Amino acid sequence: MSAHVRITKSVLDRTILYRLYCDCAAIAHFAAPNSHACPGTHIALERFDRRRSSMGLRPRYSQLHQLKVLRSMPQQISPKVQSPPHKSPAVFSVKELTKTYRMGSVDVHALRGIDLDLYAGEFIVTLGPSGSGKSTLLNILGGLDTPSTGLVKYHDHDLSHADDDELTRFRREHVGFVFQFYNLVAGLTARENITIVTDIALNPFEADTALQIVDLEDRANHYPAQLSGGEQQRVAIARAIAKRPEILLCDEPTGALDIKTGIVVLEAISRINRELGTLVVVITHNSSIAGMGDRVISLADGQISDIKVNAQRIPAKELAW
Amino acid sequence: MAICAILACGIAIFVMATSTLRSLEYSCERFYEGYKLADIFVHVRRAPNSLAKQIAQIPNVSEVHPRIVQGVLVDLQTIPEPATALVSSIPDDPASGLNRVHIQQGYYPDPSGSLEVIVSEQFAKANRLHPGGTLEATIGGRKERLRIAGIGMSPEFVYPVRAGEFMADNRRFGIIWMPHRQAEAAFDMVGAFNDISLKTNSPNSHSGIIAEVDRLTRRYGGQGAYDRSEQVSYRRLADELYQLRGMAIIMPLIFLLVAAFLVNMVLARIVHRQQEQIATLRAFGYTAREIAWHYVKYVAVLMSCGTALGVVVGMMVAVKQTETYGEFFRFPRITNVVAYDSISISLLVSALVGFFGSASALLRAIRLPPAVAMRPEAPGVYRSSFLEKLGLGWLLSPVSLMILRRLERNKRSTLLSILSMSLAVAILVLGSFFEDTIDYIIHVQFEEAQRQDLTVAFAERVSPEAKYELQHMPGVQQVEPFRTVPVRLQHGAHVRLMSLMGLENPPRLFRVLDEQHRDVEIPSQGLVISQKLAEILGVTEGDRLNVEFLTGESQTRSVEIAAVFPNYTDPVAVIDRSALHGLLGEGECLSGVFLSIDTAFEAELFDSLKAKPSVASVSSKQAVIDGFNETLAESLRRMRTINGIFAAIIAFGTFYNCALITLAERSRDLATLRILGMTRGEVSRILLGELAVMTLVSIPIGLPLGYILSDLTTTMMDTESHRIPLVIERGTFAYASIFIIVAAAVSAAVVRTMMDRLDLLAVLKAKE
Repeated sequence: MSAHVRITKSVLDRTILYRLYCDCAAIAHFAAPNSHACPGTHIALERFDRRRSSMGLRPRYSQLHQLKVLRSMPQQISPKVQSPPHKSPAVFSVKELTKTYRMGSVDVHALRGIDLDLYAGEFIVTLGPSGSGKSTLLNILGGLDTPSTGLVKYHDHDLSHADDDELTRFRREHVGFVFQFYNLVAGLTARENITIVTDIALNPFEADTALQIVDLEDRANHYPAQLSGGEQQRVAIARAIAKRPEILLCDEPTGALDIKTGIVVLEAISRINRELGTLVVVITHNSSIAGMGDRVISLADGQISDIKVNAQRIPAKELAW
Repeated sequence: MAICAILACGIAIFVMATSTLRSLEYSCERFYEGYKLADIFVHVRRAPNSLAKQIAQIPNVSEVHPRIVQGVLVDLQTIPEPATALVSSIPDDPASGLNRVHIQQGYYPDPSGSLEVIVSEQFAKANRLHPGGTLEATIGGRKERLRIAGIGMSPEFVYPVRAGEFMADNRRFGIIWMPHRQAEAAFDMVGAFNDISLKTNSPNSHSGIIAEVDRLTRRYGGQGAYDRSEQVSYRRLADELYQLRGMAIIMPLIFLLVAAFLVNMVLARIVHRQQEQIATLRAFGYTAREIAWHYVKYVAVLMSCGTALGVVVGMMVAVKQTETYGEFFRFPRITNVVAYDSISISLLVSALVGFFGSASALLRAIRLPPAVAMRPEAPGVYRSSFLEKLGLGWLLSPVSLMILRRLERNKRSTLLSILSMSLAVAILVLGSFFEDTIDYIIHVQFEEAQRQDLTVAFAERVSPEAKYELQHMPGVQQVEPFRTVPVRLQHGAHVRLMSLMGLENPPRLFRVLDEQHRDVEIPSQGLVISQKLAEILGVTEGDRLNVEFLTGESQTRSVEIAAVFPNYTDPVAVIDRSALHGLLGEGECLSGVFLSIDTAFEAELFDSLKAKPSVASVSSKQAVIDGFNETLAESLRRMRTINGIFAAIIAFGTFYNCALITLAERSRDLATLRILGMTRGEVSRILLGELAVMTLVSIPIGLPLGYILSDLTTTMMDTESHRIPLVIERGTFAYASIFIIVAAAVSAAVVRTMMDRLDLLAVLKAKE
């Protein structure tokens, strides 16, 4: 019970609780498949709720749903405990990965044999100069590109031989992306930018909840043009995490921001990693960010030149560049 | 490339239409000049050759050409009913006289040899007649076998159609030119003529000459002189050219408008996209003027390519098009004329289109400080859409909101795209309404009003007993006699030469109907005239007309107009037959009869009619309808297909262009959404949704637009010989709507394939 009191303190904690409920709901659903009408109904009703919340009304269905899940929640289930990264099975397992592009008449070897395992809840910082292959690696991990040779596995799924539909489903269900230039849809408000993604997700947060996580709930009805760069990037982060991805891939998330705003954004990413247990991979030129990560992977000329494990992660607000 | 193609389409159609028109006008004018089409015509009953000399004395008359013109029945293998031919006498010397005959095949007949004739080209073609062959005609009550010396054409019969008929029926009506001396013998007119043509020195003197000719010919049964503008073929051709002129404006105008819209949008987009390069050049020290000049050159090259392509294609198509028209209007030679003024207009239009398309975007780009222009573009400022303002936002998904807000934000391009699509819808209506109209005319004219199967005209007026004679012919069910008299109708300064038709009262076979297809009552006194005639004479119901009967003795009566009725071909005036006899002071007589027949006995009836010397012509209603369907239906189908292709080009062009623009503007959003997990289908829906909205909005705009354009077309095509009612069935609107939706769907499929091929990741990288 004390745990309950503690986690209801903050919005973020509430979301953890909610996620927990939903996990339990999934378990309950598997244990007794007839306890819900059908998953389609569930998704439809959740959409109905999201419409209500976009109109400023209280969601109906999720309240009932949570209540039902709460009642059916097995008492012995406890909040997910963060186990040391290397002890749990790898989320990504990369073996002898190479990628060669054809640029005009020249073959560019972007990656030359990468071996790497990434674990749930890790915060990975990938450093390297331009052309070192870090973006290519991120694209392959995110299911945006396929390797020339080698193997990439996401849990038991082979991503290296997946077709476009499989990769799309992988991105849709498991990956959150944060881009250097935010890539928000200019014609949609902050809330709608999130809803457009949560509408196609299986088990997302409410858009407002996602905005609360990045402390932007009061900007929900603002269009990107009405937000500062940092705010836009936080909306982008909210959009990325709203579908509860297992992996959050950030491509130079502070590249277009000043230091102060950059730190706010990194704090948001760090909190998500810490409190939702999301595997975060940040690629950056900025070596000052290295201290934030559990591991710092340095790439040079398409190969891993160094992997450094930080004994102690430095909080974002203590960073300087 | 796309701009070039769109512009080329618009220009090609414009150049094609005007060049075709010019070619026809020029060819026709050359034919009239070269073969000396007469300026004034008059038909008399019989006049001595000395009268021609008197007429030649009239001031400003430069040449007179007396001749014998007579209608005869021709018995042909190709059709069961007797065909009608107009025999016209020709001088011994082919290079003398007026309305000269151009020999296309064979030779000019030698008057001193055996009886040989020239047959008009279209009649010969339709009935497979060749030089060296023969044809059988009833001349002066005798069956004569005429040897065909040649096939020819004359400026007098460029479009050989009988007055009152909607269109030419080349199988059943033709011209036979016979050497004058032989015609004199055949028609018992030695030393006499019954028709005279005049050439004058000055067109201004025509009214004076006509009055003088009328005075001189009156005692010889002169039927009233008239100038070229009232000559049947000349007027029909002039009317057709007038209609073509209308079509040469409307259609290309639509295309140029659409081309202008699209070019405008695309150019504005190109300049906007190159904003960064402009800024870079500015940063390197290029002046605004230098950059502007670069774009002016770029736009000039683009527009010149489009115009050049359009002009070349337009001229090539014009040649083909002119040939097609040449099948209906026969000239010895068709000269293809290049409409240089249209080309100049095209150049001007494309220059304007290019200028306005790029100017505002270019100005904006140049005015932007380089530092600002080189920064990544800030997100656009959006506002809530009108549906959200109405409180309906909750109904819409984010994808719908994206679509609506973008459409509303880019008002100008949205509006232009919708207008383009609407014009495509309008073109479809415009291209199809003619079928409805023609169906309506056929229904009203041939099913409701005219219930006769055959119209038999006598060479001379006959006694009423002829009615009974015909009544007893095989298969004849009903006989309704009529009397026609050449008259000159006059109201103030408005004069019209025509036939006044005396009908049985009430007429049962040849009915006169009002707008609601009810019988118009023909009073025992007073005229009933067609709407067109009322317009020509500037009269309405209740007005009085001076009717001058051109029957030999000059008789002018003032007659009241009792009613005005709608009619779709040449102007008509009818009167109660007994009243007509009364006005003429003559006893009962007939000029012809309408017959309803039992078609089982048709062949026998035709044989009996062919054997009757008094019969000058027989026309079958069914043959007219068949001819109508054969010629007109085919050209209407072609017109519908061509318009369908035009509309599809416009729809596809607009759709594709919009898709490209939207894709260019949206590629970053769409790539992002793809990365965030949307499938290709879901992402396509955003793009295609916009286009779908525009298509659906364009239909309710395009349909009334089509109605207006059709109305405009009917007004522009409203001539003396053709009066086109505006009739558009619901099916036509449905066809236009469905066609445009299908065209949009096909375009969408193409765009979708294009999107599938697009490497969205590359788009995202390129942007960064």
